[in-house]
Amino acid sequence: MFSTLNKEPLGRIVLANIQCAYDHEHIERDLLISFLKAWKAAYISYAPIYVEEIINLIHNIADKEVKYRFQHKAKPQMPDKVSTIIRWEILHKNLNIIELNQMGIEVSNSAEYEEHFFTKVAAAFDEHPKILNDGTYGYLDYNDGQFWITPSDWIEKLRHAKPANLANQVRDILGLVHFNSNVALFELCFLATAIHPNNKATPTFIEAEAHQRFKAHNNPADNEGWGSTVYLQRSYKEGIRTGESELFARQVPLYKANGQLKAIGLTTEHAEWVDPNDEAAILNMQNEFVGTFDLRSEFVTWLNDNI
Amino acid sequence: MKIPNEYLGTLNKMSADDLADWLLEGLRCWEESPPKNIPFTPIGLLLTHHEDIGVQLAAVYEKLDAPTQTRFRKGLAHGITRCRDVDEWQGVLRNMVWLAKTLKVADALQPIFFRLKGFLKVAKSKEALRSRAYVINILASWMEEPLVTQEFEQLLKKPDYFDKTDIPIIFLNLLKVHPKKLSEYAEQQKLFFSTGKRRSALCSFVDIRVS
Repeated sequence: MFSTLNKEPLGRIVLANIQCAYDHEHIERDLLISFLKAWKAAYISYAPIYVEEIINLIHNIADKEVKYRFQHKAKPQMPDKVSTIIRWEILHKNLNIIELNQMGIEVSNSAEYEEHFFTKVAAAFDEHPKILNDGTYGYLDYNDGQFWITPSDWIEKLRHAKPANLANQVRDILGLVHFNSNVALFELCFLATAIHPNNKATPTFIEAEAHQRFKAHNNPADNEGWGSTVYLQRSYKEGIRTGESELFARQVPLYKANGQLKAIGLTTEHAEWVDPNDEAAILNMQNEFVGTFDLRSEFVTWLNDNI
Repeated sequence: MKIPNEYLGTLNKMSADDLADWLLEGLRCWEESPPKNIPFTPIGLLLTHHEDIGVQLAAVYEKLDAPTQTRFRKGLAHGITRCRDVDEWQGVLRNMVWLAKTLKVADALQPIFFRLKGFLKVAKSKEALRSRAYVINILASWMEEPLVTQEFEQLLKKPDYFDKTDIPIIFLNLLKVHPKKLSEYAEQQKLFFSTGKRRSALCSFVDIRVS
């Protein structure tokens, strides 16, 4: 399994982040080994052929065995407010559709979002805070209630600076490489105190899963224990530039977290300026990005021999 | 999403009925306990939970060959017909309806209206009411299809067919297609616009459109 991962850049990104978690003991060593063995067992059971499939098995395991997630040993201090960036297609499923109908807001994605779409949605949230569905479990009902968060301050500062396109800029700073052009983005901002201490953590490869631009810090104390996003660039030949701070969170009871919904806007450029249908260009960017890691061949051999 | 040719070959051999089953079973399991992605064989393990499932299925559709895209559209319409009338299936229905609108599957309109006039008209559970509002919202944004406009115009004539909460989204979208019918629609919904707040909102709306 690990040899197969080692053959492709996306697999090497995951391996390099495993190496980082192992070397610097981001996760307690026995638990990490236990996870890797569970992953290998799932690999044998499902017999996936492709690297993306092997990596996506991480979700299946962490989904079944919650003990593997949120285990990074860093203890980051929280700011007053944190935000998550969410695309409209996911956000609308968490909103009270009856309220949206009353306000004349369409949920269907459209090639052309109407002129006042973003301000209308944000205003709807201001006027009717209960527009956010409680969800089955009382929290944002997306990806099993798990999502990335970042301090809210920098987004607000960026918004006030009035960049040419806030959506492109936020996407790039947060390393959201899967959001190409024409993606409608919103910011859900809420009190950090709403998150239970056990329900937030610095991300490791387990939370990142198949994230194509995830790079963990070596030293868990770096960036005061927070993870850092990878700033999307046109090229990574000269190394990566870090974006902003990030954590992974789950089960946030947003309906009682003083949540505010703010418009980010519509992305107008592809991530990294790469056509999503240009497989060669995508591969080239992944190779450049994996070149910023120092994955040891003996570590891959060790994984093959011991897991 | 990159789909290996081997998997595309398998998908491209599926009939419309196979694809309907594939969508129904896949979406049903996606809403359930793990492992959620396996029923979407052969591409289940290529799907990620960090992205919306509808967005991913729309991306899969784009990779299919033209005859399979036609069968996929038929399968989607069949699938909407076959969604079960129970709360547990409402999430599946909403995803299918969203996908039908996104892929502009006009063949799905009849089955969607069948649901709207049938189970969704009478069911009172929270999930069914959510589906009803969702279906109305999606259809209201699909007025470029003449069938949708015709159906809504007919249904609006029936007293109390729509809840007052549905009127704004329907009214605004009908007017986008037939702006000259504003007075006719307003007359049909005069009860809705009889309250002071709504009447003044309508007057402001008319002012904006006139100016």
